[in-house]
Amino acid sequence: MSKQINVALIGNPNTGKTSVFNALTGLNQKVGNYPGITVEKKEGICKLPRGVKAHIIDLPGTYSLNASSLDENVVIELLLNKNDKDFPDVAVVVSDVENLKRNLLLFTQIKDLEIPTILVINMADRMEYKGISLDIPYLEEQLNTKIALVSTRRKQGINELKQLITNFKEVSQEPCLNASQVDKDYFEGLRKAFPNQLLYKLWLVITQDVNFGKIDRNEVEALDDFKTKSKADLKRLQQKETIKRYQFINNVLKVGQTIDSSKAKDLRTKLDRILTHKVWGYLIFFMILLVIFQAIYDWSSVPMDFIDSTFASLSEWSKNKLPAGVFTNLLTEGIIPGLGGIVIFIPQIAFLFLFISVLEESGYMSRVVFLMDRIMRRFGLSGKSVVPLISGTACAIPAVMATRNIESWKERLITILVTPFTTCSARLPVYLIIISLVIPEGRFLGLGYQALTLMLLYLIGFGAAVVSAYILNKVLKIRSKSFFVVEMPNYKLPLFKNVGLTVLEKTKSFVFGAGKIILAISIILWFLASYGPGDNFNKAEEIITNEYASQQLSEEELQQHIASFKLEHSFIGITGRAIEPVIRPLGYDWKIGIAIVSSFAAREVFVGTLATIYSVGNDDEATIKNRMAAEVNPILGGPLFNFASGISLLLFYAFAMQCMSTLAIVKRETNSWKWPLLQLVFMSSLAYIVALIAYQFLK
Amino acid sequence: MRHTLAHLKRGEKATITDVSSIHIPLKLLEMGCLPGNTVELVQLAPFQDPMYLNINGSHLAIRKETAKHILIEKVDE
Amino acid sequence: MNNVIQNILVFSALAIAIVFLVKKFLWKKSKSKKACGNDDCGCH
Repeated sequence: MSKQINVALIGNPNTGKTSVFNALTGLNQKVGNYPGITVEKKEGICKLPRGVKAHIIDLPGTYSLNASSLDENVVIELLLNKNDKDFPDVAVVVSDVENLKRNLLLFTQIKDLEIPTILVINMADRMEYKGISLDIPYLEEQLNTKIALVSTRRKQGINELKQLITNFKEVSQEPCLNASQVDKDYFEGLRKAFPNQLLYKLWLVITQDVNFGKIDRNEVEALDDFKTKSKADLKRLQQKETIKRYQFINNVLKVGQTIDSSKAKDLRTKLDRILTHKVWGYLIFFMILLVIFQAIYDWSSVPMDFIDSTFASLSEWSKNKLPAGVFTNLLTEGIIPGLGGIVIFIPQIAFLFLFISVLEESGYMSRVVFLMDRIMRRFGLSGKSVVPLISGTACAIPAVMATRNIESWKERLITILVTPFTTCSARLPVYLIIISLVIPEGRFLGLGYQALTLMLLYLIGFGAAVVSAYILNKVLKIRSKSFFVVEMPNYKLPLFKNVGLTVLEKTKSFVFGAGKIILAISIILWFLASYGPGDNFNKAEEIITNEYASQQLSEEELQQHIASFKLEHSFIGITGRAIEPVIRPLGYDWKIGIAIVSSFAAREVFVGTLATIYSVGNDDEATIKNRMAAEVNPILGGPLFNFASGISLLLFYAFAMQCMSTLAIVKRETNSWKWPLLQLVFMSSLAYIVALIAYQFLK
Repeated sequence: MRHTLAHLKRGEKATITDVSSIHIPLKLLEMGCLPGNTVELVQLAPFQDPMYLNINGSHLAIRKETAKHILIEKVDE
Repeated sequence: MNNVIQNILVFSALAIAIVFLVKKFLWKKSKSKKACGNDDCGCH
């Protein structure tokens, strides 16, 4: 701890705070969660001159210290808790040169906490373009701080910033204005009651009704006596405080900043005229979505095929090279296919996050929110629900987390509840293999039946989300203050470094987060399929050899019979046949049943499970698809995967809440088991009923 | 007649006169929606809602139901 | 001998997998903190 300086990066959204963070830390960064909540915690190490190191935290973007979301709350909790191990020695407030006035509001609030504060004025490369000039010495004097003029795009000013951080002890801790003037008597009373406390800190604790987990409870309760003012009065005071801060900022900037608007060139107006246009706006949005889907399915198929075949040959190779035995079997039938099932998703996930981060970085996402708000509101959603619904096509987990900036609790809850209906990438392997089995290859109007089916499944997913949102909106009786404020940031060319790091980070967290679960499940499944209780399993060879003694079977056929008899009497087989009556009306056998149950952990496990079940004890290296096609329905005869059971399975997966991790995230985001359980029961029964109707109708 | 922000037409400018209604979130004030500031309606989404505003150089979008509570005085060009 | 080692490896892999899943999905329940509840925790 000796020489490490704790630095907190704070700033409004869209100020390029993350670019500054990336410029300071490079690849020396890690992303985790704050304990107990799912707010992303980004931290990194920055090497400063003279061997000093800085530990940098990139705090969630916020417009002020008056928190209105969990993410913003993290900022206050850290800044108010001197005992936190991450409590900053120095705060670095990142501002955007074009929105200096608004950005300075947060700056003055942080100054009031008497933490040494450095001001970064970012995007300095746009000053000339916008006709802005700044009197830095004057601003430094008035704001009582040190200023670094930075352009992460041109890589300017970063060394100066590092220098300022190194010498943070020289930065003033004095506030730059006295906000308590808005109600002298009230604040004077506060000061007398708590002489050892910082006035602004007390004021923040009084006015925030959000939960302050880490702040000393006793202190807060003592403060309750001071809530003598009504909520409306407190709010009025907050308004006055905000106005006062802006007055101060306006006075400073009147001298310190000159804007020659005649020199300003405005790309924004021109782009907005097209991108938020009544017709063109929607058309362009639709085109962009098309490109994204095209990329995810077409472009990623090449690397996916490559990964698939690599893992198949790896499995084959280790089977031949390693000494025969149970562990080798576990490796070749459980672990390697399990790992393959994780790695194969990397191309799609990387593409999806590439597009999402480009759309967000460029400022386009806010325009979509603006365009869609009115339409989404009809269904009880918000314009901001578009982002979760789009990212839900990758994975519901980040999508549910992306609902956090929806201000209205009701709109946010509905978005959380319906997001798992959108077709996430985990459904894709299930869809693809079943479609290739049961949908013929013909074409209709130049479009393949198989591609059309896939598209239809996506539409069904979106349709289910929107319709359930509409119903929930009517049914849920939640009164919630609804308001909606979106910043429309300037258009920016996304920085390659930012986009690259986001893609890297998200892919990594998928591989190491979801990946571990999938791997663990495939090990357990393999075990359950390879071991069993009682004589039926352990003496399978004898039983089968005796049973077929009269028939002239080849050695190979005999082995096949033994393997399938063993599987049927393994742990997994016993469980599967126990649940068979429930799924029989849907057209499934016990093997599919096992795959459905195990895929409750994550949908993509379905294919992996069938692969494991069919490959246990099987020696030929036929693909999963061929093995599935060869399965015979034990009661009706004919192929098990026919049109009726295939459609029934597709529909089941379109609606079912088959994802433990999503339920866990919903529980955390709503802090109640009520909503995830409701989701589970509603979605699963809907899936069962629809699949039942489809099978009974089609068979 | 009292003018509110909801009455503004596309391209029109006005001065904000009062934001004291409790229906206006603090966040909006913090983003620069304060008395005395100039507001311009940049764009309206279809169905006239939400409204894309430029308040003293700060660009943001709000819904009409919030705009109804912000009092303004139109600026004659 | 080979068989014994392979069996040991299989069972330890299984144990690791089970412990991991239990920790991941069941352990966390106990320490659920009281954060924002059923309402919007009075935000806004």
